[in-house]
Amino acid sequence: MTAGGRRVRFGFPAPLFPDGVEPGTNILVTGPADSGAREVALRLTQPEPYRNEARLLVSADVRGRHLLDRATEVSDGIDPERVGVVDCSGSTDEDHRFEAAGDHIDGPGDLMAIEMAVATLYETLRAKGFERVRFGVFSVSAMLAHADLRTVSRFIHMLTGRIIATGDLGVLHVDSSLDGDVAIDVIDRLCERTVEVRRADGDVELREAGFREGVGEWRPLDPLAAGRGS
Amino acid sequence: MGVITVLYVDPEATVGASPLRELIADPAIQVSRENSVADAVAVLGERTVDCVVTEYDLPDGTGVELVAVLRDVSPDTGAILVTDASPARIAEESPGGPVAEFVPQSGADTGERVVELVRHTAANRSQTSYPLPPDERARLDTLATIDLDDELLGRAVQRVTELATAHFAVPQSSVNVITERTQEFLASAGGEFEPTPRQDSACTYTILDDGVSVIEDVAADPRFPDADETAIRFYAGATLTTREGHPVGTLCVYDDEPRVFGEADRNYLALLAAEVMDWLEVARESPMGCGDDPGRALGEGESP
Repeated sequence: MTAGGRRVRFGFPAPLFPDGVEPGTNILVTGPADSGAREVALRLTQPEPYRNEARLLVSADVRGRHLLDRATEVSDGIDPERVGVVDCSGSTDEDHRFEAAGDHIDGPGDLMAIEMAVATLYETLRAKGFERVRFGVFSVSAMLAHADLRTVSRFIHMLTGRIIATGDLGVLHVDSSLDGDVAIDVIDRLCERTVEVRRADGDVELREAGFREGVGEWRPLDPLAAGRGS
Repeated sequence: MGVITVLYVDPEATVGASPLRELIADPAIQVSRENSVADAVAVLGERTVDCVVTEYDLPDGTGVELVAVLRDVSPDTGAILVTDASPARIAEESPGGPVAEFVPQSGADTGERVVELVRHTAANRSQTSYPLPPDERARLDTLATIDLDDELLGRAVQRVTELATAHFAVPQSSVNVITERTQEFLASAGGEFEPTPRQDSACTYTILDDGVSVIEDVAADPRFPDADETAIRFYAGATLTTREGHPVGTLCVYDDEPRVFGEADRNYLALLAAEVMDWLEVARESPMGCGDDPGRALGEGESP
């Protein structure tokens, strides 16, 4: 990307990745269902308006409106102008408070249709003038429940590759209580960074890992999402 | 990498319109054109391309049908659907279609986006169904420096496979190299193997790590949905890593029933793999190859 703004690192609410990450980075966020991993992943997709960012959420395991409500809770509100949702949960969503796509998607396993909706929505957001986009997939586990690992990994490889090519940000949520180690390992290898989330004595803890950075220490997320379930 | 080869399939495309205009204008991209599913399939049967860019509506079928064939004959090749056909119509006509990139034909940045995706897909092979080692291009360049046809090398690694089958009491063993798109068998004991698409090869995953990888029951592994069609149920593979750290292949043992593989087994397989790797280093491209005196070549540390 040659545009100056697209070379600036992506920033996040404290204490997530205090140094930010390079454009074209994909982050896997993994943890059990009640760990707070989904909330951490949603926070990572929170756009920075002064960077002229938008966010594109793929809602596979809950309805798009429900995911958006959750994003609103963890982000202290959202700007509906900056968000697009591909609802592939298999449910219809009549609430158009945001750019939406996905009426033709059968469910989380219809990956060709999901890809078309994501690509179309992405071009819509870019045509509206947003400089860069934060993608969020909620969740890869739902896709794995409806399609085989080989098809899902090809889809994720393609999506993460597109994000690298365009200098955007990818955040992929995996519910580690649903998927086996083999599947998580394959998806993990398609991402540059990983955030593991767990709940210890009721508090949300996380640690970060990257190909070059190694695995960090567990540390509390408090006060961001402590006490909130998935 | 060299020139990026693109097969462009759209009978109505003109060189003055996006995205064909931008693709042709890019000096790194070489575009060939076909006008139908049948003609494109014929080309794909004859040669490999880096990326297929296709319209959805074709005279004898659809771009989705073409991509489905592509996934069979060349599963790692990139596919980009560029069309004004609506996603809703495509999804209705082609439910459960194959995964491919999609770019709306009439978008403001269609040409730029397609070139961007073609370049990235070719350079990073980002439509494979499996992860790649971190420095895949350097890995392949390193593999290309090894004289895999060296007769002395062939005999040496053949002996190692025979030692492996005897030691582990397994029916089959092989030394493999992982090329850009396939697993090739350099030597084998207990049977002959045909080259395997990389997505079907356990070694594709083994080379992602150093050391030994074990799959105690291949049929239960979600990475290999077709495993029940093969006789291989147990797999253990040790990565063959060059002195620069590039994983070029594996030494593997196979069994036709699940089994366990203990620490001592892992250590011995790793020992045999180190022996194979020493021979591969000797066979690195040089005027001598392995020569008549491998000990001399090893001892003097001749470099390629």
